[in-house]
Amino acid sequence: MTSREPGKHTGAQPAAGQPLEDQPPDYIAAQVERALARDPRTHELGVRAEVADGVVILRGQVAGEERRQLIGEVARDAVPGLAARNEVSVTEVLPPEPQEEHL
Amino acid sequence: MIRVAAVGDVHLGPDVRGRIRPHLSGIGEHADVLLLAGDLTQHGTMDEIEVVATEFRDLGVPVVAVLGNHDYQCDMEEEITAVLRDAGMTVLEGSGIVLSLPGGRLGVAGSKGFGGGFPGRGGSEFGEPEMKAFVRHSRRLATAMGEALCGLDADYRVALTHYAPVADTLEGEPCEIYPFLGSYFLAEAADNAEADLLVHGHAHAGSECGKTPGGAPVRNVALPVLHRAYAVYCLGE
Ligand SMILES: [Fe+2]
Ligand SMILES: [Fe+2]
Repeated sequence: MTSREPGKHTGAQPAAGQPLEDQPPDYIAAQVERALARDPRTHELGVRAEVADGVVILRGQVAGEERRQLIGEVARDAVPGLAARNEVSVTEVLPPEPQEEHL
Repeated sequence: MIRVAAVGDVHLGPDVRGRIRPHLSGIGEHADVLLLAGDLTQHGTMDEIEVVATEFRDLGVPVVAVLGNHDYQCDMEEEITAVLRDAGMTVLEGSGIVLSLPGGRLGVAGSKGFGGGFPGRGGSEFGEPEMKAFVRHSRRLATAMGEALCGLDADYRVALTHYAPVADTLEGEPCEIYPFLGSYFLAEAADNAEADLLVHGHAHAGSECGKTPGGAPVRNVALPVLHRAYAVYCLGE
């Protein structure tokens, strides 16, 4: 669901310089995912962003706690005007199962 | 019988050093070979690949790897490959190896592979040069892997890739991104070579088990899918 105040945009183009947090939620989410993929602190493609009620929610798995925190940092830097909720988890590594699979 | 251990997408780096190693001791009691299905690093840097080399060296079983898209991020794939080879591992890209194991000769051919999608829902080598280049890259890698696989004189053949060869093992991922997660070119090449098993990674939110249109088993061994240090698949009696 995206909503837009009538008259907020004067033309077909998104207003130049319009703060990201005022843009439709889908664009904000995409911008956050783009930042996570491109930012050298993260280079993360496996985290999904969703924007609901003005909050950026981050979901996915990463390999370590430091990376989990960096995901939150990069997302907040991408949209400083919005709160971020970091639901990313650290992938567990359990011992191999004793039972192998016979193909 | 040959016991094939496999894991992918370990995304190692100095911050998560030693994450897998404790689970690898004694791997030789459970498996005859370990396959690594790419995304060994997060950023594709030299300090990360040194961690990978330390993690997987001297295991007592042969280690055969392909690189993943993350390992290409810094355009250091050749240097990365050299570090892994110096640590005693085999790194495949459009190439193969035959391992003489107690249970027989295991042939493994590998490639990073690439995207493009699956039958009826994929890209074509048509139109803009960028689109042609995307699909052509995928097709060329799959063809080279298929040729390598066909050329292996072995009792069992395994196709090792990073990108997914089928959509089955992507279940759990948003279907809109399937064309970025794999290509049926890989399955087609493996089926033509009568592969006994296809192993891949890349789809962190996917699922473990699938099969090719030709009926060969496919396993997505991405660590976030397995949640364990490796899975073991047995070929033959
Ligand atoms: Fe990965
Ligand atoms: Fe990947």
